[in-house]
Amino acid sequence: MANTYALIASNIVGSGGASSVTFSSISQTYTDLVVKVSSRTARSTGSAADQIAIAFNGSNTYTAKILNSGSPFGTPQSYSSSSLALETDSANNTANTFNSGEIYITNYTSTNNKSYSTDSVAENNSGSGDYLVALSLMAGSATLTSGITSITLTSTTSNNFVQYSSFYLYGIKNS
Amino acid sequence: MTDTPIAIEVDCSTGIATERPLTADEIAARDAAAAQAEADAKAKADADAAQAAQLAATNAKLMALGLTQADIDALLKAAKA
Repeated sequence: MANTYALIASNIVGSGGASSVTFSSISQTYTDLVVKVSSRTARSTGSAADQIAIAFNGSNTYTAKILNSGSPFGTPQSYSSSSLALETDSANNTANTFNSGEIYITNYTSTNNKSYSTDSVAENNSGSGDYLVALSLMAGSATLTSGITSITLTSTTSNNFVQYSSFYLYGIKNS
Repeated sequence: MTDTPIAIEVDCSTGIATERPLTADEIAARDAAAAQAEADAKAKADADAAQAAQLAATNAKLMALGLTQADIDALLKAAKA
């Protein structure tokens, strides 16, 4: 049971935008990690939101099972992915809206595969269009044999995170 | 805004954030990934639309046979159980 949340590092994207945000040299002194995300990308293709991919230690060799509401027909979908992590607002969404997302990584210092989960929602207040509200819940397993020392977040459509997108990394101890 | 995409790295041991422009190779890989992601998204959206259309057509055929929407919903619920 977590009894401490310690802010390890944070970043708020500046006016130039950013193609990726990486937390590196992560201390191995905590039990779990949590990344809090409030983001928006510059994606303007189509009419949908965007997604964020995670890479641990520079690699995205993981499997994930996703429950995603991001259907224009309102039917929740369940599928597997090796890249998708979080839903995020894009330039297709209502102006100035940002997603809310969290990545929880348990036992990140373990030498075995790392289980993690995410939940996220991308806000859109317009009355029409595809993917009005994109929500996802995901459980994944990263096939790493060493502790996680870096986390990189990128748009799966390779669009920039826009200004004021924010990323906070917390460490959690179990005692 | 800069034309060259920027990567941000926050060193958690120092708290210092470093911004650097992507290399030409990174930009090329990024562009290729973007094209693939958009193609994948379109394929998924098309598949979703086809599935929804098929479902609607099947629903209409069942109603033409005399089933009510409540009958069809009950069948679907039983099939999913």
